[in-house]
Amino acid sequence: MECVWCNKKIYPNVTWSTFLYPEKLAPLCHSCQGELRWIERADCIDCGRQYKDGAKKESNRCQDCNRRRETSQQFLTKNRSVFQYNEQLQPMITKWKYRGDYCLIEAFRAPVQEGFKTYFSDLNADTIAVPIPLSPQRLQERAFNQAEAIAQLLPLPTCELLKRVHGEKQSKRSRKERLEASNPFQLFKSTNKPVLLIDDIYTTGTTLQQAAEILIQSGCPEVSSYTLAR
Amino acid sequence: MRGYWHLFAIASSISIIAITFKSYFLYGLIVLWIYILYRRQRIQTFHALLLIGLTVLTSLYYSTTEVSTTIDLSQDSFTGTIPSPVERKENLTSLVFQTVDKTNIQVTYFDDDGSNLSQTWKTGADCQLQGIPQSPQPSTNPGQFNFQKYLKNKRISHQVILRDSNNLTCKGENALEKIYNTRNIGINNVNDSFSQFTSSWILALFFGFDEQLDDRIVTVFEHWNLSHLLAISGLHVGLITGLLYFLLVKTSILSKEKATSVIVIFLFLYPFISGGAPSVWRASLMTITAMTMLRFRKQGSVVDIVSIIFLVCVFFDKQLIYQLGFQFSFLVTSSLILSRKWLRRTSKAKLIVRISLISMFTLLPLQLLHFYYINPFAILLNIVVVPYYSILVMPFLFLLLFVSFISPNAITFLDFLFQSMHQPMLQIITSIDTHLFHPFVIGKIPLMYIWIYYGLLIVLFYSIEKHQKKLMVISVSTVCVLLLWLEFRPYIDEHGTVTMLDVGQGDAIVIELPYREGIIMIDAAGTLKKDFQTPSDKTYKQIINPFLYSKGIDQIDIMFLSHADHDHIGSVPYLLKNFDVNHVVTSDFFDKSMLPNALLQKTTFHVARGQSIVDYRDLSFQVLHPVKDMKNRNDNSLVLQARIGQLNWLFTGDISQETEQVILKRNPNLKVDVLKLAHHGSKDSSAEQFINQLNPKIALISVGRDNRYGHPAEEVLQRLKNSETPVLRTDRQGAIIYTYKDNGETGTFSTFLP
Repeated sequence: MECVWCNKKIYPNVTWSTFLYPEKLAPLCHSCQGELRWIERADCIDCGRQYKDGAKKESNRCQDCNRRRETSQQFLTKNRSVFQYNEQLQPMITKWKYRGDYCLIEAFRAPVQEGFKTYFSDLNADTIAVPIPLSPQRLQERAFNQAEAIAQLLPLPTCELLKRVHGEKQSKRSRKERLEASNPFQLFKSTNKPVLLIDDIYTTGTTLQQAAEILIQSGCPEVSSYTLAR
Repeated sequence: MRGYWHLFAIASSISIIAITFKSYFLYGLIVLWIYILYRRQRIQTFHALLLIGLTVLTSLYYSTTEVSTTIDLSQDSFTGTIPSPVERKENLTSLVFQTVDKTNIQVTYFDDDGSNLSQTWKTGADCQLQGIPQSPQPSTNPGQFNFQKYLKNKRISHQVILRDSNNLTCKGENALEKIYNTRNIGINNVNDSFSQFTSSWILALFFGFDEQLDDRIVTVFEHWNLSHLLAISGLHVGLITGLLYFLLVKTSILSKEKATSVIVIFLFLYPFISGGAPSVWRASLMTITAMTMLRFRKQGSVVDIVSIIFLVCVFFDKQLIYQLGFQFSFLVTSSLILSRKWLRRTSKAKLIVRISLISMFTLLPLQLLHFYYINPFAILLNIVVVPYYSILVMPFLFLLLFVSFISPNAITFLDFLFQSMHQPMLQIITSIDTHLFHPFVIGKIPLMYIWIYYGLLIVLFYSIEKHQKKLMVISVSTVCVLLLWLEFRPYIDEHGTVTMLDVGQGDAIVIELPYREGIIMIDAAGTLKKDFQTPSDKTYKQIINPFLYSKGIDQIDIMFLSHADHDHIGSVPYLLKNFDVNHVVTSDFFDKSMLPNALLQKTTFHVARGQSIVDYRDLSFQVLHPVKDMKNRNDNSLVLQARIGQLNWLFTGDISQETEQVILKRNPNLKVDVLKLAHHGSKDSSAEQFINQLNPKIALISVGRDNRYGHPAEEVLQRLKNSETPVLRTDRQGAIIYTYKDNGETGTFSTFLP
């Protein structure tokens, strides 16, 4: 089997733990896998941010989240992400999302599932997964919704409750523009079940907060979010 | 296949184990294992099919391990060849002769007439052998090394001891002989160029020729699990390769690529030059494969390389896997490779400790199976001595060898330097041995414990790799509990035994009380060297010590010594030295000067006279003799009577009929169940009247095979026959063992040989 990212052959690693029972071959080779950095601790209990090593931790919320709380803009119960968005992950997501290399999802399958188990073990039993939608034009361009692809990896029922009004790409906008932009989501269907929003990347959190805002306003009891990277 | 070869090695070795020990349940485990791997998608369909195929193939291949014995023993002349190297030692030549129908005969020739004919015995020669092949002697005592099995593992079924070199006439040789001859030339050159001390070490460490090493050093190294340093092991091959590469490349003699090729060729020849031990083959083949792959920039995993070489060896030579060196080599290598995660990224000092720990834990069961004891402190000495060998001894000797090629004049000084470094080191190791060697004698253990041990070991190594502290603590303590349990097993065993060992012409009797309440010995025979003068430790080393160790005995509560003849007390000095002997009991006519005073200080010495009683726990030994000085060593033998396992025993030492009369006069109503016949069945003992009066139910004779005294005497056997007393003799039946239970029932006699 080949590494889904660098296409090098992958061989099983034989040590005491695997010599009688070989490991299942991971879709990424050991060196590519090694470059990915897990988020190991949620230094901010709201957005799940991990500070740089050695950074001083003053409270258990980060400045952004504190500010949001002060202005009552905090709609998410919590956000958690799997990986740090680093030089290895960035081109992988780009290739996956923009250039349609759908197979790369394999590289994320196990980590997303494992992360879900660690962070959301206390999730309400009737929680539904809601992927952040793409506008129809974007979906046309990319052929699949990356958030939906991630949502399908989870053991939760997936519901499309939101739709998106076409606008500028989030990634092409500055931080300020993003924070000030008007809410691009419209409600498709309301729900009274708790919701776990799914997206690929958490940057400032605005997109997810906006989606959460609409859901909460329509009577959803609780909204959390889970992303691949941040 | 890459990354999966080890599965095949595992399947193959488990099949061999299943076949060898007839543990057919293992096949169930193999099938279950393959099924799980397949169902959980850990292996693909073709892997699974190949694994099953290999299991079947290995089993079929190994189910016919019988050594070819299609030899016509009615003839005394055979045509054949010499397939392997001829070993020439000082006044002894030995070789394997292979007949046309592939029967291997070990030929030994004691070279005392100095004939030159033996020089024509060469590898690959066509030969004519005159002689009557005999089956090798099997072991005749519990715990004793089985020479017959050892030869069988080398596919040798018969042996011939040549009296005359004319009985083997040979012609011709093959290419291998030239290589082997290089070895002999090398050995001679080394002996000529260096001092005796230095050459013994060069020969052992580079030529695999350990004949010249001091026996005492070999024993000390064995005690401390350092033997791997005396034979050429993977460590040596690695070091030699490294040194050679360094020498060729750093001195700019050759480019890296050429140096690699030269070394590969060298490594192909090296096993032949160094005596061809399995560990040398393993290490050489592994290094060759690794270097070739590196040369052609092929990637591969070490696990695969070692697995493939294992499979090649297993299918190339069926007997290899039964050899201790092969087992040691592959077990240690694979467990070190599997532990590489733990060995990576750590300081040099820690690395050595970890390597020693892994090796010790992996080899422990083998050590127990072969030597019956473990020395837990050996690891401490290993940690110091292994680096000393790797950093100082090996490079130094390599340099010496190298210098001897280019400037022989410089050798004397370097040789002196080596001696002044190595001799003190050996002295230190020897004195550590004298003061600190306290083996943990466990004895012979049932095979089941070995599987349990290895199971636990896998869990232990797994937990170390996964940093699971809790599991680690649990598995380490379980291993310790297991070892302690093995050590304490005799203490809950309700069986007691009386064993009359087959020590050849002599006496050695060991009484083990139930629940390990006591170990009592009566006499401990020794042997003499060929000159019939110098005492030899052969009987102690080959029979008495292995027997006691195999029973987990390292302490003797009482040792009765009948009289001071070598065939009764010859092994006592070694026993006093290596065992805790609490009490020694002799008659007051015993010649104490026969035993070294220094050793007698280690024990409490008692003198017993006729009519006294020696009590120990529930046993009481009645001393029937000597009551008066009979002016003769044999007739002053201590005669003991005791009730053991519901039977009445009489141990008579070497008394003659005269003394028998004295005993009968004093004990007119004496009756016994078991009579140890006096003086190995000599005709001067065991008078008809004595036998009839005692009316034994069974008579035991401890006597040597084909001894020069003609013991046991025909007359004595006839007297026993007349009185219808069944006889067991050590020369025919090997060790004689009486086993009884602590429940008041009479036990049973068994013999080691059927």
